[in-house]
Amino acid sequence: MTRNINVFYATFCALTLLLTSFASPVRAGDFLLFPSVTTTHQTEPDTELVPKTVVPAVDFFYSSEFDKTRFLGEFLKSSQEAELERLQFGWRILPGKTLWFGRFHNALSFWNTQMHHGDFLQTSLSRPTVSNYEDEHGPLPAHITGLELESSRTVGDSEINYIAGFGIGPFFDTTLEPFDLLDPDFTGAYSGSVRLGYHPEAGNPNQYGVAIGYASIPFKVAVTDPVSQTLVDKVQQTVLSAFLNYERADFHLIGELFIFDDRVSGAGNSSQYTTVSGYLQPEYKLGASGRTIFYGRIEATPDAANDGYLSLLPEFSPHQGVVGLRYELTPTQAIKFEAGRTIRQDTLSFNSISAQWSMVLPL
Amino acid sequence: MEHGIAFVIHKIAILLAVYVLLSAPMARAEEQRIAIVVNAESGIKAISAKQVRRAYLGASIVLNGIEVRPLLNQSDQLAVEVFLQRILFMSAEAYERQLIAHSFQGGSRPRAYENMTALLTALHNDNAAITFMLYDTAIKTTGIRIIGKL
Repeated sequence: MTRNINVFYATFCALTLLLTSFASPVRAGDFLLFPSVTTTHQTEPDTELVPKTVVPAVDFFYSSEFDKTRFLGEFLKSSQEAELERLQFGWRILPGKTLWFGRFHNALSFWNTQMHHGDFLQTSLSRPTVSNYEDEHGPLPAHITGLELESSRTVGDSEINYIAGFGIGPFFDTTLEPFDLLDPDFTGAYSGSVRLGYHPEAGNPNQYGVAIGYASIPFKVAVTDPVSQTLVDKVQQTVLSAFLNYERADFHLIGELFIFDDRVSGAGNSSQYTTVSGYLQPEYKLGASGRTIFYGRIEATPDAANDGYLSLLPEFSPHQGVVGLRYELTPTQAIKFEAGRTIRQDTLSFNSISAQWSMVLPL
Repeated sequence: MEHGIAFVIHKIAILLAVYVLLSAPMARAEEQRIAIVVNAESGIKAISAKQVRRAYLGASIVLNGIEVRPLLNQSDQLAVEVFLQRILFMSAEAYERQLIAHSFQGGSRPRAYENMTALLTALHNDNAAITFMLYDTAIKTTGIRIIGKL
């Protein structure tokens, strides 16, 4: 596995450097690097939590286009993980319609499909817990390997877009485990989602939308549902979501609402849980230069403790609030400071302060 | 006293010269018009400023049954400046960031050409391609058609 990753990492870097090294008056592809260093200090030293972490990371991204075909790849390497996050081959079948094949981010989470793994692109230092990736105890299948149809159409001044994706989703083994292209394990079953978005003005970032997703998630090993106290080996998850992304002058608001319907079953037993989760993140640019942004975020999953599936994710945080400041040192570099209060599913609660330097390198 | 007046006049003259030098590109950008052009055989008849803006920000724009493919003309710095100011209403940095985010989100970014010959070749080879240039340049360039004067 580690060897696969290292070979892929070296090949990915070599290929992208080679592709971008050809001197040409035409710029056809994008090779982007998103380096970052994040340091976090958490209180409650008497708990098992690590009081201090320093995580350097680099996210590699390459995309190119040739006639009607497209290629996109994203590979994240940090001190904690190395993962091929996205690898997509696209075919532009009609104007505004692209059919993708490969590993992509599930459109069910608006945040994930906007920010992906590029720390520099997101205003806040942290992500909303509900949109955390699988290995961060995120409750949603964030990666799907299969087919995705992406479509957009302008109607007058507005634009309507939809994304429909279907393929192999994760299985459960202490956390969700997405299908890994570099170390394939076909334990995962199918996942899919459809998202409909509306831009009141095409080309403008303001957007509102709804999505529905379904995932059949088998468990690697049967476990006891902490709520019903029965042995379970599968969860069928249906999620409805709504999102908004609103920008006006110096104000930006991003938020999502999820309704989970988790059917947990095994050995002839079945339990159904319905839980609501959401977050809202307002941001405000300070000063005339717009280089300083003050933000806050409130997240809540009020009934998480009574959801047998969410209860299997001890590090999922049903309650979290953060405030932070982002300052852009240059147009391609930012430094962020964030303070937060978190209450986890396993009832651990702590305060945290974090700082992050992040950058984007267009090559 | 005379020496003092001469000194003041000298300083004012220098300040005036600096002001004129600094404001010249701005004034030039204000005066210039941008032409949106296609190759002479393209089926695209006309385009509005809003449609140009959307196309360059990554939206899918279909005109006369053709999905517009925007090409970035980076061969003329003044044309870029005028285009950003008067069509996109944003700075070069803000536009680059929008393109990065759009590309990262799976969208395609307009191909950029730093050489006019390469740009015109690409325009001639693609009936769906549009690009921008200073109006004065466009009227002197053969093989292209102006579909918008903005």
